[in-house]
Amino acid sequence: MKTSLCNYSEFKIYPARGMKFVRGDSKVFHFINTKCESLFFRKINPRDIRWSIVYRRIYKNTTTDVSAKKKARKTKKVERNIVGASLEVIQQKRAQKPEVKQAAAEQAKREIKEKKKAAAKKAAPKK
Amino acid sequence: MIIKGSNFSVMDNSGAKKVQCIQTLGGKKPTSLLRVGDKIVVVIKKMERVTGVKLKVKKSDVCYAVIVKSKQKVRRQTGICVQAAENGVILLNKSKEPIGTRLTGIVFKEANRNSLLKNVSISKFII
Repeated sequence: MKTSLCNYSEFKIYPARGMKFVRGDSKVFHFINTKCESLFFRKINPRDIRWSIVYRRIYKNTTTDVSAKKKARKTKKVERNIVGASLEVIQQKRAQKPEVKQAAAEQAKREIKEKKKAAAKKAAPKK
Repeated sequence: MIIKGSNFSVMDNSGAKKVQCIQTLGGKKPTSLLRVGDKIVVVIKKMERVTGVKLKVKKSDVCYAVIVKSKQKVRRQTGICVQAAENGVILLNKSKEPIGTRLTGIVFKEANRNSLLKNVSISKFII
């Protein structure tokens, strides 16, 4: 909905509210109600009027209007058990120390090499 | 109150500054109250000081005019009221089309009945 601000009190003006006044130098003023309008024509400064937002801003009665930014959604990670590995096993593996992990990895490599050697020995005599 | 004899300021670039109503049109009596959008006959009382440009009107010319803004509040169906600090007109020629090509002040929507401001550049001056 398109809203505008009152030139006197700075309240929000919704559609079908308020009145417009055109001054001699063709500046347009928008007032929310006749109370603001009559105070404007009496040339009373809105700084002297306690309920106007100008006054409240000067004497810091209002809460600072924080423009609430929309936070970007963060993707949440949820741990689940997969086929072949239950949740406990996954957590155990994650909690392992890096030295233990390295040792395990090296052992695995060694095993693979030995397997290959064995396969080569078997395949060689056939030629 | 706008009646026969009231004074207006001119809101276009025809060169006239102040005019006076000398006749009402459209079946209205001299004492009947006029409003924005009514057509009248005016006499030019005061010209703007312009040098080097040939103007279409001069002082004490009689021409048609249409009322474009008023001190009296104009109530709209949308619920807001519009009001100006002075009464204003736009000058028309014999075939009742605008003499000027540009507006110099703010004009109410109600003046644009029958698409009268068709050939006038109105962009920012209409409210």
